[in-house]
Amino acid sequence: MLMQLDTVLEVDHMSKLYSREQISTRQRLATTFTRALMGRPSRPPKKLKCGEFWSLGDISFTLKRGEALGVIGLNGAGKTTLLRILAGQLLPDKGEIRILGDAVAMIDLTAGFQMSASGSRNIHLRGAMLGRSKEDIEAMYDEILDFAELGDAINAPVSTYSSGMLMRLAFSIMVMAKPDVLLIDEILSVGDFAFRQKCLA
Amino acid sequence: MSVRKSQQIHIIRPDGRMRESVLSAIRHLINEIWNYRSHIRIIFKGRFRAAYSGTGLGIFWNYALPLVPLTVYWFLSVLRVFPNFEGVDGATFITFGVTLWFLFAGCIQIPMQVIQSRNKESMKTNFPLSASIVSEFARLLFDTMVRIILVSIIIVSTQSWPTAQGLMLPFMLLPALFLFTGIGVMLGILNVIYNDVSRVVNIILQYGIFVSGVIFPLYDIGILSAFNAINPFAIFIDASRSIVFQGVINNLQNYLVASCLAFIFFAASIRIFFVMEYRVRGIN
Repeated sequence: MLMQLDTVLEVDHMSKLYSREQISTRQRLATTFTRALMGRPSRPPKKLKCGEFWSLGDISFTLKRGEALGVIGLNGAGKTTLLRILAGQLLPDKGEIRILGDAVAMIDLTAGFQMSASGSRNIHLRGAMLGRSKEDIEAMYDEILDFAELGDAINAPVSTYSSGMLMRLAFSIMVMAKPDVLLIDEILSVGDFAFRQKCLA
Repeated sequence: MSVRKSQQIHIIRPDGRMRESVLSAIRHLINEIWNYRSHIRIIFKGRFRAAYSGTGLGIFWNYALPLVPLTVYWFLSVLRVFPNFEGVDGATFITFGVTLWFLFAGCIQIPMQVIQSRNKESMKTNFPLSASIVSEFARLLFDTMVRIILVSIIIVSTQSWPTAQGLMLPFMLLPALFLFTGIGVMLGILNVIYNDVSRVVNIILQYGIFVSGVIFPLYDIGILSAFNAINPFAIFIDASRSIVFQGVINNLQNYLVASCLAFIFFAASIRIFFVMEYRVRGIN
């Protein structure tokens, strides 16, 4: 299906299956493994096994460039799962997602940081992880430094940072990478009051 | 001006990777490893330093620990517990075999450990498991290089001189490295499905060193002799040892068959890994 020009994200009848029982997860995995061995495509699950449930069921929506979409729900409703699927961290069990460009998820902000490396080195590493070229990272480096307000600490290993400093650095990298789709999961409590205002702005 | 990756449309489907061929899977993984080379270097450095951080003797431990198993066998050989085999001094015979054994066993164990321990982190960061595996392989390569230095010292001290054909050794080891990495990757995925796999593999590897012609030749021991005709560890270790110290490959036919099967198995297992990588994410 073709995407319209101003559309950046299309979710088409997407569903995600989860299980409370490890055994059914492993059984499904074993089936997929066998089909992969035989070179056959996987089949969407039809019948639920014991403990299984649809964490996300038949979700469809479209997001145009410049639009913001909020997802509200109780704990365990599947908000983070949805974001993880949109960010390409997890696979859906049914349906299709089309993203024009790249999606960056602010779910586990500090995950993937190399604690022994300096803040500066981590900017390059995280930038590369977000698919940015070396030139792109160099171009946005000063902006990240300004936004994170870490001063000389940027050259120290991130293992010496406080949790607040770490979050500020992580947030700044994500924002300055200017992704086409930015996915934010309850993390806007980053830093002190002034920094929070800047993030929201 | 660099073109940003963001011009592409990314499509996420449940069976998106199932449609990819073996070649496409291999190409994708090579690109992935190349794109993450800076991370691989930093992760290797970080873990290398972490291995000795806080210790009094520091980096000495990173050189000493890989040598411990070799020095045990060297010591026993010096005490004449092991005789000379196939015209090669006992200490050289064993330390050479043990070095290869740890290299091959590492190729199996590392992918299994990485897939088991890092698939949750990989889900959170989108950091590919292939890059994590390669960073751990760098450590295995370092350990092997340290062991090779000791084996070289033993060769010089015992005057068990290698032949010129021994220069072919790195090329001869390639099929073995492909095979055992393929086995490790395949078992790593299976281990997420059946947690018993890693335990069984550890037991097999602990026995395996004694029944694969690593410490002593097995051609005189009836049933083991027959078993080693199909045991890939024995085939590759025997072929490597014979080319280095005798200048010919013992059981050339077995070696060639095992090498062909190694490449086929590696290709198949890489595709399975590629297809299953996202499926095993987040499962302990």
